[in-house]
Amino acid sequence: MRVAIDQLAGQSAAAEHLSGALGADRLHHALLFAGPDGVGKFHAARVLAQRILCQRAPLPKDPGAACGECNACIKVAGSNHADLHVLDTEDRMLKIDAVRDAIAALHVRTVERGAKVLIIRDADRMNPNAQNALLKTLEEPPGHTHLILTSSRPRSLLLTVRSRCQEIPFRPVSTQGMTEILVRTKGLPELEARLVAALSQGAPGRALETDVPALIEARNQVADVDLRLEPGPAASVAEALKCAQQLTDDNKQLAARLDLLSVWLRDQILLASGAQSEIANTDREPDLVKLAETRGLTEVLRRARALEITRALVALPQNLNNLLITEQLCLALAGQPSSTQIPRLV
Amino acid sequence: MELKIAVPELSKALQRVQGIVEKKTTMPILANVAIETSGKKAISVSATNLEIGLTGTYPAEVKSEGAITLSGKALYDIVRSLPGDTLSLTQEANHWVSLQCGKVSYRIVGMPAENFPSLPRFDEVEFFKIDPAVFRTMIEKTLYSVSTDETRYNLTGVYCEPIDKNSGLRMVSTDGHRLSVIETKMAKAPVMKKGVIVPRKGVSELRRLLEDSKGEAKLGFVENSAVFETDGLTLTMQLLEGQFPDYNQVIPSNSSKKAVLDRKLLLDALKRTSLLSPDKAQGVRLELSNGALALSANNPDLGEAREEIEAEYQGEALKIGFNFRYLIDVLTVLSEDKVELHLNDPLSPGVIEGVGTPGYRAIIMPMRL
Repeated sequence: MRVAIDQLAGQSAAAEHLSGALGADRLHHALLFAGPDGVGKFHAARVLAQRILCQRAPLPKDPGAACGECNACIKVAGSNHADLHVLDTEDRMLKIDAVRDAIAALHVRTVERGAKVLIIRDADRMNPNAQNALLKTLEEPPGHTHLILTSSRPRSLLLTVRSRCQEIPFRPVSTQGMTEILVRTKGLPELEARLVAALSQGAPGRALETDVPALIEARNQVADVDLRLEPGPAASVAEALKCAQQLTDDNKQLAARLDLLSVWLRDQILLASGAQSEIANTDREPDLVKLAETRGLTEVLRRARALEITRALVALPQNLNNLLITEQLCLALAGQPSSTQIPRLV
Repeated sequence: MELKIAVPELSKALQRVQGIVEKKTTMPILANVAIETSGKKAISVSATNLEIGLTGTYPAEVKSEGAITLSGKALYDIVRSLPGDTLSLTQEANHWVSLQCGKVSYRIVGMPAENFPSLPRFDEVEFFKIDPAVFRTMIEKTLYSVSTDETRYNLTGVYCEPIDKNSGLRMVSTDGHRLSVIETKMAKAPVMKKGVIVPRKGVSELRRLLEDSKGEAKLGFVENSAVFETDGLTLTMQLLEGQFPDYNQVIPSNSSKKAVLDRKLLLDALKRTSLLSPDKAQGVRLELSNGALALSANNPDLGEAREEIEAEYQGEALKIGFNFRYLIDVLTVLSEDKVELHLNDPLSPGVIEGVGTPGYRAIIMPMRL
């Protein structure tokens, strides 16, 4: 079966660029796939690797496609190709030793008579030492070697690394595109697919992994928090602190929950400004309409602003106290003056 | 695939590849050994870690042909513990394999052989015969000076190239401070257009194989790998990318001072003197004068050592410093009774050769002491 770059859902710009470069036989040896988490950068890197390693000559009309049938394609698909190296780790950081080992492997001649590909997944996890160790190879890789770095935070890579790579931007996929993918690959009913697509914020990778009932439950939880915390004399500090406790009971889920809250508030902004058709949480439309009416645009925007600061803090690589940050958010939602000022980021 | 094989044969086959089977790896198939029938009377057992691969051929009774890969460690553990003499191995659907030995039976799951990294096609290799003893000497005399600096990849292997007009084989290695070069004339010389770099791991594995080698040995080079064959075993070594530096530039073409020394005497004297050499620099001073060589070292924390040995030398006196480890390494791999030391001045490299057996030269950069 044909495997091609242009099959990447919603990444037509990147696909066009790569196919063009492949067609002209001018593919840069160091590529940086940059874009949000879950939009298909790593998948695209594997597809490109398969195309580079495919043993059959590509059709001139279809330069971005691998045959999907030859020995090399089968091995790539099964992660068993000797000349495809993937640098990935479960840890937070990619360390210099792993990078050095990967570079050493690139200096051994190919096993399958062709090219070699090194994919570094989430390259921004490399610490500065590891990135520096990679510089020489990025600039002048050993013969027939392609390096593909993927990153959702390309700006936290060293400038010296970025300047040696050709950056290929990957964009969030449209809700429409995502809905189609979900209906096609997961067989979800259209309405449900649309909700999941909208809540996954343009990341098919995230959407495909989604456990739908869990997602809806999580959404209901954050919606509940939003509903409980109204500014006014009735709102109590205790209630806000309780909500914060609930949101942080699983630290790994916090970022995802805040994302859902962000979509929830975005819907209110849309409704308050009269753009009804675009909302994501269609199943809760009556609630949202009521909230938008009673709160008004100013209040909804105030809430959204407090949330955005919190999301930015949570996304920092440093270990901040998540409970403390979330308490600040809940207090802000409840209209309570907070004991310490949330630092202004911009 | 269906076959019968003697348990000790399979056990030997699996034991040989245990060192190559990868324990933890990103490529699951590398933890497997490939078993393939070759004709009706033999099977081949292969393992690879992408840098080196080892294939052995073993007698077996093949009922139907085929190929499969199975976990190297699990299969070895099973075969080692079997009570009987003969094992029958039958491939079933979905890459399952059943093993039967007397009343013991196992079913283990494998992976398709097509996923196994391609080993070079041995029938494409143009082999040349090589004397195992000679080859082993060549390896021993070059392996010690291979660089361990992982950032200079092109130095982390032994460079092999044909001598003029393919009349023999030359092997060179260097780590930037020392270099060793050995060449051997051969009746049938290697067929290669230009030199290749064989990585250190491959060369060490080769040496291990040569230690046990009894019969003939053959060496050959294909596109990206070197292939060595002996006693039914085939070792493939993936070559390194890159250009080996032009080593001819650093070999001094002539020397103004030549001393002949007793190798053993010099080696022992070096070991004694080096006890008081500085911990980090590891330097010893050599003072050459008429008929004698004096070795001295001094460690500011400990004290001084000095020893004088006889030397066949006439000429100007010369003082020069060397890293004693580099000298000891060279003197250890040499087997001749007498060695020649060629020097020019305190800042030019020294050359050591064995007296009576040309073809090997060790070049060592001096130290400022």
